[in-house]
Amino acid sequence: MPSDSHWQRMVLKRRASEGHQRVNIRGKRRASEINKTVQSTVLEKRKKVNPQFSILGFPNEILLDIYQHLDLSGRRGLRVNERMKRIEMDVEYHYRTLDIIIHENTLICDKIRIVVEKGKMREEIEMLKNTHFNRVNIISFVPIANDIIESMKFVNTKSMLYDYPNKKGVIIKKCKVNKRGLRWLYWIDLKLNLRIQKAIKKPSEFKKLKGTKILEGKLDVKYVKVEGLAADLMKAKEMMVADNHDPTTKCLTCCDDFVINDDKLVVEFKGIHECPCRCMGSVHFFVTNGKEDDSDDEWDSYEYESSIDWSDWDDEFDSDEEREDNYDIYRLSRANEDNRKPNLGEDSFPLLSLPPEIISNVFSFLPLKDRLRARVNRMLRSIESDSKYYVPGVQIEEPDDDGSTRLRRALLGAVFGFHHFFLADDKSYSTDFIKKIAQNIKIGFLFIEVHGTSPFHHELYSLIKTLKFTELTLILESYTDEMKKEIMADVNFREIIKLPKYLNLHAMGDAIGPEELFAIYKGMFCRTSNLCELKTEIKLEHLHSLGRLIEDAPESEDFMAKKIEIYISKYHGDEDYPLYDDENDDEEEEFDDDFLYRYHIFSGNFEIVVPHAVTDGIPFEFKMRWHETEELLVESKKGKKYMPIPEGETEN
Amino acid sequence: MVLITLVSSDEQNFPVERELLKQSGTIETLIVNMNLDDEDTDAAAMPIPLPNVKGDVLEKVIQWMEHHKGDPVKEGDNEDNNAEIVVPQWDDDFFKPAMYGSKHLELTVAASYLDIKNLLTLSCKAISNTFKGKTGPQIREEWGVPNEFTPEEEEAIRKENEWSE
Repeated sequence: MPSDSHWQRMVLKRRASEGHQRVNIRGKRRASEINKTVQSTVLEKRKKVNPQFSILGFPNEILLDIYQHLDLSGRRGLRVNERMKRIEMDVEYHYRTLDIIIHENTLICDKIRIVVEKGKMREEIEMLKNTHFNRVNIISFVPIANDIIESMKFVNTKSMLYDYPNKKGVIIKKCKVNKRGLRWLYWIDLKLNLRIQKAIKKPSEFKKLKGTKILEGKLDVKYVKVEGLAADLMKAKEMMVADNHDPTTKCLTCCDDFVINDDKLVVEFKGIHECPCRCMGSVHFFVTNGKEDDSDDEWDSYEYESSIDWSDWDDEFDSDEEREDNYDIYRLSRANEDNRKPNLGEDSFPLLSLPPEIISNVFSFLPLKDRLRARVNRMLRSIESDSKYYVPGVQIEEPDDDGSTRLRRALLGAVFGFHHFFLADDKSYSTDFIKKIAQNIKIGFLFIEVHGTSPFHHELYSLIKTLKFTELTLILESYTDEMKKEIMADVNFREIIKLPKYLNLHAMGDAIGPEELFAIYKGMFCRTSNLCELKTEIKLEHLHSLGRLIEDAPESEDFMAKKIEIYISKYHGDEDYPLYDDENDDEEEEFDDDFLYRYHIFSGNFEIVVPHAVTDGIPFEFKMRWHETEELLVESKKGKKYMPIPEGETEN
Repeated sequence: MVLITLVSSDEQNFPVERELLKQSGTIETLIVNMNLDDEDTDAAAMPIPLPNVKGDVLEKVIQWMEHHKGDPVKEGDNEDNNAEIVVPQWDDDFFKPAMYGSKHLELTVAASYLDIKNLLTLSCKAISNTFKGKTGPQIREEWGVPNEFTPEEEEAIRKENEWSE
């Protein structure tokens, strides 16, 4: 096999030769075109002669897997082209954790140690934007300058600094923290938050934690929060402790007072602590059994795994100098191999390390509201957006004046398991919700009841137009006739009613006239619309007008052009009941006063349903149906009585 | 009773009743391809390696399959309202002890790998139940999910969820 250098020489030679020949022969083709041709020819031949392994031949998911085994420098080095860069930066695939450790002028990131010039820390951190991790822990040995804090916002981390823009901050992961450490933190006025994920189950361990004796208490501890506060907040916290003070459970340590409030679920441990350094500070320990502390909003802002070794809790510094010399008491763990793969060996459940398809599966079991709320980070949001869901029912309603409709519909929705969304009374909400569900949700039954014809309603209809739904019910009960007509004239509204398979226009009054119905009829009869069933109310005079329009229609739209069959059925509510038993076909059934009767007029697969008895001027229920298959057509005729039409009377 | 031996990633052997394995699409395919159902084939001499499933997880999977022996296997995806699926009490008790633990994760991933549709469905449903009625911060807290949203993204999500609150 030829060596690379030999190969290169061969290629150059051949390229020159072929290019030269072509120029001589054709004489008109541009040199660049020739070069391209030659290059592709050469590459083709090269592949045949020396099929080289190309990393770019791998599918994206394999490349991602490769990335996971690389350290940061390797990852950055692999950004060799746009595709590789895109894969590396793809937020959807951020699964791993990266620790960035800032220690004096050194930035230790993954396995790379970078000595940073003064003032360049921010620049270095910005370089880490969109690295291939879903969680970046910023760990600092030193007070962090404000400009660095600013840059951290751009690193792909969930940073507490968003919530505390004016505070300096430290997050410590897997570190040892002892009393010296805590005091150091008070001294530099930093905020420290630690979280223990492993439960502390034995009181003896708790003793270690607090260095004090424990009275009665169930110590199935899941989380520990330790927070250092500035001195000016101390008084308020002191009061809080005093309020909760219970002399029966008071514990004393050599330097601190602690109060334990114990019940079945929560052990709360608070302490007042005098900082021996420069200021008075307080430290609070909230030890809960995995329960959220509702009284403290800050709790939710911190989500970092930590484990703390409290064994040297009672260590003391003799002097400030010694303290400063011992910054490295924070023995920080760097990202290691365990962080690169889902860490299945620990007790914690790394939800985000489940494959996206399983997370998507989990989402599919959630009701719509919970699913929307579960988009708690970028990865989950991306997975949710990429998955298609079926939602059986959605109701969008604008409350009426007295709220009675709201209650009634809410109850109805609850019975049928629909998702219920009320527009705010003052219309101050955004319409982003509709935009969101239009992306990936298919709705079975969409129920809309709004009141008004403002520009907002026009916008609302334009958004509803983007939804995917099978059945639509529009309630226009509170509209005046003029408003209904205005709605019917709305371009977006007219678009909406073409979308569903089943359409129920309720309380339309005169708004839906013969022309509108004829347009819907044409769409259904000629199958230019998706609609298979329209249910609405109509007046007798409009029905006559509709009949005339149908009669005057061209043959392709002519209901009468096919064989007309008329059936009669009895019904109650929306349900048809068999008019007579199949076995007694010949028996004439007497009209039953408990039921109403209606005619079903068929022309091929098309059916029009009108009541048997109607009154002039009073709207009655009117249906038009298109039966998609012969089976559905036969099913529709079942149980209804066929009424032969005397010859020559079809036109009536 | 025909026994088929499954070998976990840590080399533990699990002799399992042939009938039980019908619940696993992956193993069923292997059995057919390896002709283990043939009378002439010595199934005991041909263990099925499962390099992606650890012994303790496989043990749980087998325990689940034993309890669900004879249950109809779910076929394909449909547009059912998954939100209405109920986790039976036995399964709830089965998942609950390890709900937030790594074992549940491994069990779910194993169900996906072994293509045990019913187990995957119930496991995912059990996880989804922990999300129900919770706010975003509560979910983050319980599952240790980092919030990496910028304030702008957070606001966009809040607006989208406004009607669902």
